[in-house]
Amino acid sequence: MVFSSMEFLFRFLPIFLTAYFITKPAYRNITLLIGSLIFYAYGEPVYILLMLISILFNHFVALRIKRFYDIEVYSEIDCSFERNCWFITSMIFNFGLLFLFKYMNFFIEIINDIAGTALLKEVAITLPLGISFYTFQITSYIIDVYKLKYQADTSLLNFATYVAMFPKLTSGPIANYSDIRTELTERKPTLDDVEKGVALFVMGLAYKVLLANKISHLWTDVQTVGPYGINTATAWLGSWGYSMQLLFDFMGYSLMAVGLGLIMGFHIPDNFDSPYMSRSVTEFWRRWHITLGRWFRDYVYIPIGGSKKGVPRMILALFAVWTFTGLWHGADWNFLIWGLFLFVVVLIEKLFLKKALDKVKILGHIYMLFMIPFSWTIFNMSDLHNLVLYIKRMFGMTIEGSVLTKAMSKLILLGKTYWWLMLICIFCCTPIPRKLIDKYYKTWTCKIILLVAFWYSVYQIADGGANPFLYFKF
Amino acid sequence: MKKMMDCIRECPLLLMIAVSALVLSGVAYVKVLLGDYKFNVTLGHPMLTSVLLDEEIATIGDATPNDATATDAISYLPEQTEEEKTERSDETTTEKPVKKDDKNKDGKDKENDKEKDNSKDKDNKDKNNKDKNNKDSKDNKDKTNQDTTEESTLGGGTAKTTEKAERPTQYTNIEKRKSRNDCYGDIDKIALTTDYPYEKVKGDYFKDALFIGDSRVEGLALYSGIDNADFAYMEGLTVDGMMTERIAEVDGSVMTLPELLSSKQYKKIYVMLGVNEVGYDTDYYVSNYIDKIHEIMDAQPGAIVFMMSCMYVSTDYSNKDDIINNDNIDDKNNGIASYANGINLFYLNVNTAVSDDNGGLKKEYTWDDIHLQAQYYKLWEDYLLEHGLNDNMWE
Repeated sequence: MVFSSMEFLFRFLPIFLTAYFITKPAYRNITLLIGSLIFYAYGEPVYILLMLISILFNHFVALRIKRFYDIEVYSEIDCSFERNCWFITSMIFNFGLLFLFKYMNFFIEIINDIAGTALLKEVAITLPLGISFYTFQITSYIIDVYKLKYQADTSLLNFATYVAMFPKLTSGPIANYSDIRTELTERKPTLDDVEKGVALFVMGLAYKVLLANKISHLWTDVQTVGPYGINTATAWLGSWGYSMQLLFDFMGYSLMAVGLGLIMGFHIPDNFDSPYMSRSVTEFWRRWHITLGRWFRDYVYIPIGGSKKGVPRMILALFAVWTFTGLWHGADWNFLIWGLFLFVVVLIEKLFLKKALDKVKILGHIYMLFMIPFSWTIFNMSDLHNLVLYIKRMFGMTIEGSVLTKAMSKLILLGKTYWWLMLICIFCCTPIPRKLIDKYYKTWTCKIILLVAFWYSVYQIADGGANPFLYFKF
Repeated sequence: MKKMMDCIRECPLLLMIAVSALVLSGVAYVKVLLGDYKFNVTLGHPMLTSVLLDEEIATIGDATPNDATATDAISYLPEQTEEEKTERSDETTTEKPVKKDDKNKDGKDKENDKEKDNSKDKDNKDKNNKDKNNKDSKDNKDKTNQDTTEESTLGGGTAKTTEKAERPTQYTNIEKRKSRNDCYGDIDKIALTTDYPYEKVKGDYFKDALFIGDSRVEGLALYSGIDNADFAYMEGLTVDGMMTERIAEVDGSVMTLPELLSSKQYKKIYVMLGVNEVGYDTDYYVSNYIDKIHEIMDAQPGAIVFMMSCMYVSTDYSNKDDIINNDNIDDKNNGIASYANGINLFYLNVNTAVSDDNGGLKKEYTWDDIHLQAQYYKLWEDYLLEHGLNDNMWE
């Protein structure tokens, strides 16, 4: 069940919210947990068991670690061995499951490629919904407990609610336990928060349905032709379109999650801070999918040494972070290449380029204008053959057998169709819309605009539901 | 009470959304009770039906998109009147003498048998149609009557040109493939290109040709070598949109297809449609398609119409999708192909030029699994050039 679906908007959400607000504040976590499990089970009736086992086991481990710390404090017996054992077991369990479900087939493929024959058979498993997200949240909790950042929560209910909370369950943000810890036990939802939450939710919905879904046609349109029939400008236009689609899809979804959290009284951290306004790739990744970047910074980059232990250490840390970032997004070669590409770029920026980019602001924007779509192009294409052709096209290299006689008219046609949508997208890339909402969400003008946006989005979703081929225009 | 007032004062947006949703839903449910709206299971919510139903009726006419979940999809297919049934059976009987001629010429008993099978199939289909549609409105009946009259005039037309032998579509039998969705049936045969001694022709053959279709035809217009023909295309074009959308751009002016057809005379009209509406029921799609083809033929009596098979999607895509798959496309193609007569209406199985062994669009020819890549539209053009008709067909 995605947020931008009729089932969610008109069945799950109203029923859930009614139940939630009828429940006495002390028992609301139970309502939230049950609601979240129903939400998850709707999409993953089988793998919900996996998540439940994961929650139970990790809760148990956290309690064990806490207990051994307590023993140490009271009896002064060194329990570091037991603690380490439990910690390592938990890490193996969590990342093992992630590996098994997400990377096993990719790994087998690599082994088979090296062996040259079908040495191992691919396993028939599908990726459980949201496993990358909840694994990262659980591990962040265990690591923090192990490092004594905060005490393990003795309440299974609280921990389960933290992990399974439906707004952020399937697509983030990857909230740390400390972000919502106090709110798990005692939250004071104000009506103002509820109203703001609704405003953010509607904004996210509109981003997803009215911008991302619409601009996605630009990319599908370029795809119909393939790299042989487009010119360089069209290749870039297609990549810009895809970049916009990706941003509003993900940002819209995150905004909806933040909004839902606010309605229930949780302050889930923001995931996007106008990333396309960045002036370097390093900055971009501090503003894009912020919670993921934070996870890698806290649990990979800094433990390895960060930037404080000399340049070689920093290079190693960056390499690890970006390899894992690439793989986290998907188990395929292009994601790995994409991660490594970002590693090289970030490294170059850190060593030389950053200073130059900081001096002239406009230079940074122009640089990102090409860097963003280029990196998403690698991200986008898992077929390496096509990727190479497309990149060749982006850089104006000749491809044998191209048909470019009408490439210009295709570009003009695309430009005519999408220029206004592109302009709206560019405007929404700036921090202005969000600032306007934050400032004016109490005014009636803003409310009316949001109401219209909501119903227009619903209309679009319903239209897509009634006509399964709305998003299927060939 | 005070709390309630606070809620109203502090959260007007939430309230407005909730109230408007309740009102819309309420109105819709009442309308369902009154019988103004039908509860559409696909949407699962009458409010949406109320938002959409008017539009749906206006645009799609009487079709309901089929969805795997639509168990109770309302069938809007035109009811088959007794009249039409007899009409159809007439049709099959009139076909028989032609077949006998064929038999005398070729001496192939097998083909004859196949034909029999086909007519049986057709009869069965008609029956199915009838069973399906018991609860239809008067409007549809009127429409059906129109259809039948149209068909009978067409029948007359064919009778006049008896000197040109009719060439009914032939089929090749394949191993039965089970249907994966109610919008199409099991497949056990594939329609072949209308049997005719085609000639290889040069590019100037297209100088009096018109191509009509969806984004695939757009690709043909942009990336093949055909530069002397007229094109009328639009992304996402469906049979319904074909006559109403402003798809034709000829000599700088944009117009609808009927406007174009009344302003310029063509000799060859090529049509490819279907991929945007494979979710509709095959019978509905085919009858609608053929209606529109007849409209074109009426507007252009001197032209020969070529129905090009809806192009396959790649095998990968086809295996994954229960609706947009090659079995469904074959089913739809078989349906339209059965109307080809080899006189002024031909069926061209373009797929033979671009498919792989599994009967899907060749993987290397496509990037998005649905369209040919730019450099492969040449294959399509070559196929059409290899399937030229002799000039005496227009005499």
